[in-house]
Amino acid sequence: MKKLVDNPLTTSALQELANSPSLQELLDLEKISELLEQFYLATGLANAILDLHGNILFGIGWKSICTEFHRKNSISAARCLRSDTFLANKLLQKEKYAVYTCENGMVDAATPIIIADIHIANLFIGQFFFETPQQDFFRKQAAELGFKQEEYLTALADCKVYSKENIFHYLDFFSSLTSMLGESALKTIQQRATLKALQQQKQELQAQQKRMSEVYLANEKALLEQKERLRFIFESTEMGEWSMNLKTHATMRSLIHDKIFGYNVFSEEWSYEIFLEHVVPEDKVYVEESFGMALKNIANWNFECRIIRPDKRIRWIWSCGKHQFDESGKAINIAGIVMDITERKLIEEAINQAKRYNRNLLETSLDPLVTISKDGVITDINAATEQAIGLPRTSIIGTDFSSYFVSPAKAEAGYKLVFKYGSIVDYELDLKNVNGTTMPVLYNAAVYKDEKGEIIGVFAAARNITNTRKFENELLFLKNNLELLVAQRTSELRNTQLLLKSSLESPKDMIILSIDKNYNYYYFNQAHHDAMKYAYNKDVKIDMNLLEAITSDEDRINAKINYDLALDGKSHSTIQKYGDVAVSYYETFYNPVINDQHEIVGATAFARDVSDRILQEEKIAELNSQLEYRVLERTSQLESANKELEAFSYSVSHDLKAPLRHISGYVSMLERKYLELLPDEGRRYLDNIASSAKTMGNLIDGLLQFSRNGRVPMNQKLLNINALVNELIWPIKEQDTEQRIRWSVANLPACYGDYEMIKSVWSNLLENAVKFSRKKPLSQITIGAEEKEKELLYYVKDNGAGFDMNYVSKLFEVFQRLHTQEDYEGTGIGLATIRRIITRHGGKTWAVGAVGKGATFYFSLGKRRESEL
Amino acid sequence: MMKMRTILYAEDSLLDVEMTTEVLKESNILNPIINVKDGVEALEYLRCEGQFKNRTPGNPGMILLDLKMPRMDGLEFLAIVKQDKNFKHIPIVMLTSSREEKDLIMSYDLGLNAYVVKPIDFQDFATVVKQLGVFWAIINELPEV
Repeated sequence: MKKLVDNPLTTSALQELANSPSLQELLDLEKISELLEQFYLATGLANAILDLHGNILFGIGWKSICTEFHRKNSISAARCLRSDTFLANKLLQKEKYAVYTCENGMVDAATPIIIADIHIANLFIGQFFFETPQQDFFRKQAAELGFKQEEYLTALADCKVYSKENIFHYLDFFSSLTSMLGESALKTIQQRATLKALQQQKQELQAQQKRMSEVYLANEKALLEQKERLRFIFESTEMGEWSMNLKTHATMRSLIHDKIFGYNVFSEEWSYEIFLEHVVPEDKVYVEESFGMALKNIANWNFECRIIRPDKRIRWIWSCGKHQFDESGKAINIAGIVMDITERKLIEEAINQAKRYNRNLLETSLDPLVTISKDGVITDINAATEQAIGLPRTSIIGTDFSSYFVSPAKAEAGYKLVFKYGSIVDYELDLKNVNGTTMPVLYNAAVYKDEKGEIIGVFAAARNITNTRKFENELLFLKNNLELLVAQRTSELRNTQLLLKSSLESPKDMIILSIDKNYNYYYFNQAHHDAMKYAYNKDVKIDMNLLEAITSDEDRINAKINYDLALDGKSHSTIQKYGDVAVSYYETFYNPVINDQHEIVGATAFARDVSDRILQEEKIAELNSQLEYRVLERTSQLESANKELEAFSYSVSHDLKAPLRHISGYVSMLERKYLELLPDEGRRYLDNIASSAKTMGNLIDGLLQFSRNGRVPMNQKLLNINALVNELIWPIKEQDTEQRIRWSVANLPACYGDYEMIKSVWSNLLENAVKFSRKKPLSQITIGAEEKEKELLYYVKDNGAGFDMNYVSKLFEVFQRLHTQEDYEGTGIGLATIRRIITRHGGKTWAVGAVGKGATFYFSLGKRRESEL
Repeated sequence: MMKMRTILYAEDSLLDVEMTTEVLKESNILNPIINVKDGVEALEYLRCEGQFKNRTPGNPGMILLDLKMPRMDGLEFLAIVKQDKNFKHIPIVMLTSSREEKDLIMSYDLGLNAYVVKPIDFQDFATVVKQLGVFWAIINELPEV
């Protein structure tokens, strides 16, 4: 077993703590043991807590390789000791962790347990490996040390491999948890110390009380002694004699009498009045009253008073006189004795002072004190008792003592114990206050005896322990709290384990596994187990080799390639077919496992059976190819439709126009050759035929143009609109010899577009403007543009016939006309063509107008850069 | 007086033929006009085959060609004639109702000399035919075959 070297750095404080038997209390070993046991069960890691002297406070899970082999052989045991020393020293050098591969080849790790900044113990975990142990090394060692090789290697196999990161997490967790528990415990100890100090104080107080009561008893005894002495004095002191005539007050007396009054020789005369002159003024009334009473009742005249001697000294005297009667029974004289009692008075005064002192002592005590007679009646109390009970002492003295406690029976029992044993110590009772509150007290009581040694009562002192009780409660609370905390931490740890386990297990279809560098399983979940069973009919176990578990050569090669990549540090994913008895597609993510030294120690794989998805994808691919086929079909249908349309346009332009031409041609030939043969009406008919043919020809041309604009590919360039518009206006100006049209042309920004098409747009707009304004005396045509953020806006405005805005929607439709052919000839295709062209350019067309007030036609084109074309 | 060049006129519409002939006559273009109904007949004429087996040998001074004809249309005919070293110098004017872009381009690609869209208005038509006749049948010089 481990034994640590003595700590060279130990300070006295540390030593005290570490040496203290309370270390075990400090580390709530029962709780910590439970935690460490849990920890051992969860991780299989051997662990121990050792104090700084190497004493094992707790240890569990020590592997047989150490207990049965290394520690038993003298050579290897010596190595153990050196290793232990190394670890402990390393921790004493304030290392957070110490990790060490011992001379016997085992890895041990330790972390200090520090409580209140004092290194108090060490937590060891050991007998594990960071990497798979080299069998050869241990075989050699077995041979060297004379171990039975097979047994030794079996013991070795029991020692598991852990990542350093995990080990450090474990160490961190336990050292901080233990420190936390220790610090809570330290608080407990500190509180215990406080309590101990408190108890010490209490004991001191009790001792003081005891001393006080002893003083009290001693004083009582002294009083009794004094009384005895008095008797002796009385007996031995000289007595004066006197006899007074009741009529004359003349008094006969002895010399001793006069000496008492301060006269060493007989004074000449003595009488009651002379006597009164000697009495101190304060006592005169009392003396005369007592004299009067004695005369009246014919009783003894017994009194004490102070007198002033001629030398001014004051003395106490006591005198007692008795009536003397004549034969007839009439009192004639009072005769008596007188004694100087000054000494006795002084002693009495001293005793009273001692009594007052005792009383003050008792009264100033903060603890309730009480004396109780043999029959349980309170005979005396102090102010603290008055306060504790809440009644004046006059109401308390003479009452039954037990009635002032919450439990009178318990009070009685305690009282009886005092009689039985002479005293009781720390007897717990609760005092009742009349205001309803209670006060927890500890009673210390003893019997007191008279001079004959007979018990005459009980003297009891109570100690208010409300604060102590409070401390105890707090202590109890802290203790419970600590237990709760430990329970909580334990359950948290358990929950974490459960959570981890369940999170790895809960996704039933998520396969999770990890292997070491030799493809040996480190972990796998149920899903992986099931998948291996399904694919290869293999029941994999944690100590198996993953590659060996794969029964298909091809799969094994694939798996090796993938895991080797991960073991080489490359995270990657694959979708591959795996399986021998049953084949599935798996999507797998491979990742390296890296320890905190940035070394790759293994690989993990997360996999999912994606067979369904692959099948879906195949189905989708099939559907896609079908879709492509359909698209092709549809395209070819469209293409043929286009061809048909082209053929239609072709025949329209060729076949339909031919008959028109023929009509026109023959009408024309008829006019030339046979006009004179026709009446006027016939000639008009021919004109109409010719005009209709011409109109129809125009319509066909327009229609063809319109259809061509929708079909021919666009060739967009940057167009100089100023030039284009001027080019179109020029021939119109040429024809306008009368200069009937006023042109107002603003600068027109360049735009992108197909030259022919945009030209056709402008041409149509200008023709319309001219056409619809020709009935005005002067045509005003304004051409302008606005450059906006994202588009260019062009417009052509005229002052012509305009149109009704109610029909604006019809303006741009094919063959729609808002004016009669008679007023304004046209095909009704121009604006439709414009809209078609501008729409193809991504722009918009609209118009604003009013009947008789002209119209404005707008079109917009998006601004574009060369690169967007 | 030099010999008048023959005009070979391939046109399936007899009305067009009559109109054209009338116009040429009115315009005093008195060149002989040989009318054929389609490309096949036009080729027969050029090659002196079929009904033209016995005609006087020699190439026409120009060919007026309609685009759309039965059996062999104008473009097919054009392709054959312009590939034939015996006939490729004969100026051919396409006279058609169609102004389809692709027809135009195709025609010139095949080596056409002029493409004229027949105006619907007779007067315009007459003007065009007259000008064509004057230019191609009279003014234009041709190499001797």
